[in-house]
Amino acid sequence: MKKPSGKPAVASETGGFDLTVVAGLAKIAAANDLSEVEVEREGMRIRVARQRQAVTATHVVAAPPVAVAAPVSTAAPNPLAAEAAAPAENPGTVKSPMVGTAYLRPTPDAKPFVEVGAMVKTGDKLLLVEAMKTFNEIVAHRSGKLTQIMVEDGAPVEYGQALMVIE
Amino acid sequence: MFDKILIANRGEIALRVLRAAKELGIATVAVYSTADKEAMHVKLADESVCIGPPPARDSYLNVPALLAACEITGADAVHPGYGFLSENARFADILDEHGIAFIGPKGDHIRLMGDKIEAKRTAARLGIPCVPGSEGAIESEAEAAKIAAEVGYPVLVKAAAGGGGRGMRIANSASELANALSSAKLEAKSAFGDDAVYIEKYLAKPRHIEFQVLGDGKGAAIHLGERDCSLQRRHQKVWEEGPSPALNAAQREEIGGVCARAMAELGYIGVGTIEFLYENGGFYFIEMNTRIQVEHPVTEMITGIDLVNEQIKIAAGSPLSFTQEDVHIQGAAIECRLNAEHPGTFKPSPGKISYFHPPGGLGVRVDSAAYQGYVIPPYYDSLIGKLIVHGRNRTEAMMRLRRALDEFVVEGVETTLPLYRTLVRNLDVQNGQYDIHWLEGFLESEATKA
Repeated sequence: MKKPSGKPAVASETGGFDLTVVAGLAKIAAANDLSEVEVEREGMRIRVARQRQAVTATHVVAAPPVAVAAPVSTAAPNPLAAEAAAPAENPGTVKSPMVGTAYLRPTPDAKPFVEVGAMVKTGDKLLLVEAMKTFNEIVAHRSGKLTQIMVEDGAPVEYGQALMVIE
Repeated sequence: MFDKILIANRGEIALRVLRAAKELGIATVAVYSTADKEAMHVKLADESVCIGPPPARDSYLNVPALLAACEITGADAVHPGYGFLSENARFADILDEHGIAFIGPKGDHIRLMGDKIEAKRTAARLGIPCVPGSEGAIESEAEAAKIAAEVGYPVLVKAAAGGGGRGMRIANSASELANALSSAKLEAKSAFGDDAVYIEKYLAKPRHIEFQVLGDGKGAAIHLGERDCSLQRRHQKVWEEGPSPALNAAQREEIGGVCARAMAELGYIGVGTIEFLYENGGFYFIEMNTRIQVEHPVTEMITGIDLVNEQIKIAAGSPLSFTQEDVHIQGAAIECRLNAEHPGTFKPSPGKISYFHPPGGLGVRVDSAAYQGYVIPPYYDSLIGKLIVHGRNRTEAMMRLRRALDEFVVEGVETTLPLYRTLVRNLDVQNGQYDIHWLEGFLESEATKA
């Protein structure tokens, strides 16, 4: 899934991708039987996904060469796929109800609303999602321990994106 | 020129826009509902943003979500495709207020042509021939009866806020008028939120002929010939071709010229289509569509002009890069709309496409976002692709179409391919002898045969 980068793209022949990096990632994914490997550097994010126990890594990195590889097979998403899929099915996941920018603090110099490890109650403020200068409070939908924060302060978020997990 | 275009649509037209943007070196943002996560254009876009759940009003029609998506991606232009918000003047205005370019006409022109009564008044003022009928909205049954008597039965009662063939009722005689008025108003109110209706003479066996226009908003406008879209089912176009088998070059030049001059006077910017009913040598304006249309590839194939490319350049401020004299209609093109529907009952058939093999070869174009393994979601229209062929003349185009249809394989869902295989072998269709009622008559007779 290509997430919004927040800035205009740089047009170039290969999109600025070093294809040896992509091939290297594919090797790592295959060697360690991972369903996906993602790296980010210099503002560019590369994610290689593969079907576990199935085809070799080189398959997945096929055309289009510039875009992030999507699974070539027509089979349903791999149910054994790595941690990235787990939050989507986890009932404790707090998903964004809208498109916007996530803010973990009420103001830039204040403390974050919550920290990993904190106990939260239903209705506690977790973060803000802002769109067009309107700030929306995202509150806890259940009580429990805040085990993960999956977005950075100021990061763009899309509808349904996993923001935090409350166990 | 724009740095980044957000494509506010889905399916085959989103892919079409993406292709044009890429060829211009412009970055692309695909927005999608959760049901369209595996869409082809989402995979190919530089960035993608999920904007909502499947229902269109929460996603593709969700203006705040679209604006927020522009904000977080830094898109400086939005292409609305067709349908959805493409003819929503308010959306065009809102984007303008936010400093984001709307790749389409000015909000005021969308508004003008969106009101069918105003559109007709404007067309008449600009010298475009219109269907005889009421000057404006019908205020009373008495007024309706008077106009209908003047114009002559049968008449058609039409919704002012309508379009796409909805909110229309026929009255064959004075006794049917009251009923036609009330039921048209009812449908108009529920479908468009406005029950204003007007009356037009009902033409018995017209063809639907539309002219493609292109304006740069700087006073220059041209026409790109016509498309004959007479083959329709329930007012939905099924098969479109250009040039029309019924027109000659002189007629094309005359009406095309009237359309182009009208758009130049209006200061129209972008692409548009002026739709006519054509009967016994007479052209009658019915409506203008202020957007790119589904059947635009027919015009692209016979003129060699990339209409979406032109849209983007014009919206970015370029003047028209060619004149009317540079436009040449070459050969003939035919488009078949491939729907995921049962070919006889037209019942929608969403689901997984287990096998997809599109045809190829000279003069064959397939505009489709479908692929093998793609699951057609049940929430949107059933159009999964368009097959367009071009030949040096209509006969060659028909032979090519026949060959291409026979080569096309789609399995896993029902499609209307069999219908087209039948149509291309039909004598009336081969002779180009049909009007807007022909297809429904043909389908009825096929149904009774079966």
